[in-house]
Amino acid sequence: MITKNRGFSLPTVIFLSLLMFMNTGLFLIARNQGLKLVSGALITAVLIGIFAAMMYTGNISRYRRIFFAMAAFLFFPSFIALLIEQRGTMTICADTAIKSENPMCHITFAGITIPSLLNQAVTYPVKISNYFASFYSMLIIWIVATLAFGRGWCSWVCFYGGWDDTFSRLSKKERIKISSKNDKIRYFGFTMLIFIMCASLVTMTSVYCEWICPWKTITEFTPVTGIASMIMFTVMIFTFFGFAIVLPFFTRKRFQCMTLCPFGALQSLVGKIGFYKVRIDTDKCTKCMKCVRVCPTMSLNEECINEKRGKPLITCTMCGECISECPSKAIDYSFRGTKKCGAGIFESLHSRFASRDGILSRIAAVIFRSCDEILSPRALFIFAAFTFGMIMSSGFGVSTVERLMNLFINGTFLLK
Amino acid sequence: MGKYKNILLTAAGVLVTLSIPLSFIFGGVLESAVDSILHAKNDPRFSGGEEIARFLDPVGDDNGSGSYEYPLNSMFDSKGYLDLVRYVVHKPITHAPWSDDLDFWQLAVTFDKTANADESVYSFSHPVIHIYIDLDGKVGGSVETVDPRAEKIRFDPEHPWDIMIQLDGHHMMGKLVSFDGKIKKPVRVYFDKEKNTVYGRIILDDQFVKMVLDGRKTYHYVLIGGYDHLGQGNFLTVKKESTLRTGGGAISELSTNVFDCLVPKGKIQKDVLSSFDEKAGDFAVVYPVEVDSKGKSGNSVRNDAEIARLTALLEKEELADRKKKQNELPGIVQKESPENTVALYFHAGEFQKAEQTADKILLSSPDNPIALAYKGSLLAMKGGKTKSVAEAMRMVNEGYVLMDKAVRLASNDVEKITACIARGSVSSSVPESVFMKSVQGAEDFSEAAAISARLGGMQMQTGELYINACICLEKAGQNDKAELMCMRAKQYPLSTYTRVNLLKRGIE
Repeated sequence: MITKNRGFSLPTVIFLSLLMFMNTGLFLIARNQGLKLVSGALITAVLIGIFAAMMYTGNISRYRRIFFAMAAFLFFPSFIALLIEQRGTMTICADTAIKSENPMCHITFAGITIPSLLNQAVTYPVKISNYFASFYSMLIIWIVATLAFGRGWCSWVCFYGGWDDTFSRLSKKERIKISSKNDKIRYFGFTMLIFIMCASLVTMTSVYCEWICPWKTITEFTPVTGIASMIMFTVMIFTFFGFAIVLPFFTRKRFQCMTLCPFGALQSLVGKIGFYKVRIDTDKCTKCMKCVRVCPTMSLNEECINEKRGKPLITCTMCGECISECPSKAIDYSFRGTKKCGAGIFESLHSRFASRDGILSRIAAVIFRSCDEILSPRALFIFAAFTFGMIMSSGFGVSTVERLMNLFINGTFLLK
Repeated sequence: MGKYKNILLTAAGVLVTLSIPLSFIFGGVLESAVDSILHAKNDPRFSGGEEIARFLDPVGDDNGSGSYEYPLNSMFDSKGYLDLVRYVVHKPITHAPWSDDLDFWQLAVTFDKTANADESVYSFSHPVIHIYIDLDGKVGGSVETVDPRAEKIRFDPEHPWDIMIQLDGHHMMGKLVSFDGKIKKPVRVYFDKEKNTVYGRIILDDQFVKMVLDGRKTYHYVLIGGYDHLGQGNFLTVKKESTLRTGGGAISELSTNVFDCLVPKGKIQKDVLSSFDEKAGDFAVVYPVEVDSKGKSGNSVRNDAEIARLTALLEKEELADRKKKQNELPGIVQKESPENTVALYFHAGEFQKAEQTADKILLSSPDNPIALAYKGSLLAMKGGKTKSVAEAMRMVNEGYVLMDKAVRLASNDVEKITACIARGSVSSSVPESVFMKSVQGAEDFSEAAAISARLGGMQMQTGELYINACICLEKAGQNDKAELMCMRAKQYPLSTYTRVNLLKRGIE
């Protein structure tokens, strides 16, 4: 595969950006009117800018982080506003449970899948269908994402992940260093998953959502009405500030995703069937260990590199930090079933025309090079993951920008 | 081999990448497909526990002993606010998740309509609900109401009540009192505006838990009155004539203040509520419905033999009707307007002629709603018979464009009914997983039924239209709403079609 400083050539970037524009236009601009149209156009412009920069510079990590943070921080204001508009409160209580109208959250799948199958009913008070976050819609999204890129969800799609991802990069250096002796902490998420699955099985409800979830702080929380809800509230605040903000800031690791989130652990397991993978070309690798140091989920270690394993650990979230950091270009995205990182279908054609003189040959060479780049696993993965993340979160982003404009013009953040 | 593998993997990569936006674009279709496999439903523990009894009450009987009128107050701008249509008893639940209370017993009361006319706490301002329950079924308790001047009724001496529950939209909490006044407890009230349903949750604790959980059979009196903050027991008074603050239609001083109530099988509300004894000075006696806590109670019936008989009869009737229409056709077609001609051809099964006539009309008048409606309907029907899926979808969608236009342009009742029925019929027949038109179909049939009821001529047709709305809602998975459509259909003279469909759903 032909690359220029890990980035793609200009014709490739233009072509893929146009395709992405069609995607974003379809989901964020089409059928919108008034302020929503303006905010949709604004978000689209920013997203296309981020995407084009990511493709052109090849700096996946930097631009993914910007995109991911944007998705996370623009998600929750409009989500809360939407809840207030729909039911007058952002709290989750019996009133909403009676109607079984709560939005479905992907994290819930970790706890409820087995109890729901045994119970033959969804053990979470969620709307089943015909809703922006119904049980069915999230189930489909989960299946598609898992088949496509497994745990890549955690770095490209999850609208919560942007929090600890952002805070893990705010500090220039690791203020608390996790030594290699303690690197098994990366597997704590699996312990959490087992605990949540067992506890949910015993209670036949989603224990994580009720008792532990840190994201209720910024979405829908249980109001304090007694001792039990007081404990829930305290745990929620503690896990949010502790695992999503403080620990990521001091360790430069995505602590919440790595140790607390049962869905992340579940994705690590079911994500093995995913089509896209991260591969390490151990022949090219100079064993500089930069990738090991930079990995925010501690999914790379000496073993991965030295023992010719050729791939990161099961907890890899495909964030691309290692790909951007690797000086010898030994790490890249690849298709399932190949050890080689690139596709290179048009490489020979490109070489044939590149060696010839004449304008037509040059054009043909550029076209074949672009085709080769476009069909490379990296381009296809980034396009797929970016599209997924964009569709999942940017609708809320558009809504937040629209609400902010409404706040400025009409003095209210609410639209109803 | 390596090269081909590479090409194959790249093609798969492109496919995976493309599948992402497509899965969102066709999310609705995928949801329906998943639903057809999983049939997922919510765990009943979240919504109040498993249902153990469901009683349906006729729609339109919020007239007490038959002649009651709402107050003249503008708050009561429409019928249905005091019309009890469903009463559901849930199984007592212990260790409830996601709930304010760990152990509770839930009762749910559904009305035909609800509104928040005077800023009530729970957004339903019109009714006051009194549920009297005989917990043990043995003689004991009381046969008088808590406040003798509130409902103005007496209870069946066989089933004196032990506890009374009051639910209304104005107090933060409902209340529960025992017949001897020893137990007084708050009851949590929840309200679902979309379902017009009021939920009362009785918090179960101490000996009271035992009483409810131990009772194999309980007997429930459900009494609905108008809410009056200053009225006796918050019941609106009913007098001979309606005034701003009182209902009208009472025939005696002993007439009840109850606008609607649940009556057991074999009893008629009108008779029950007018059973007061003027000579003895006694109020009317009301009777309870029985709830078996170990089984499934309710007033649902299913008579398979009668369903089979009626289905056969319906087939015969439909065949005879079509033949009759076909025979009469040559004689009447020439006398009729082109719009009526299309309708006549269509209903006689002469689809080709119907389409030709519709085309003729549309040639001279492209915005004719009736021609558009039939043309759209015929296009969709043709689509249904086409073998190619893509072609079928295209034709059905084209049909919808015409039918949508017909509904939009319809300016009088006949045009509206025709357009709504045409679109509704197509919506009820096309696959829901592909088109997702069932809810729209139900709305179309409901609107057509409302117009038909207002016009007053074809009463049987009105019932049939409500049945069609019910079928559409069932297809969309909205069974609670579908049930109410059946109850609406029951108000009108029953055709064979309506009867068979009601019976299939356990409604007598």
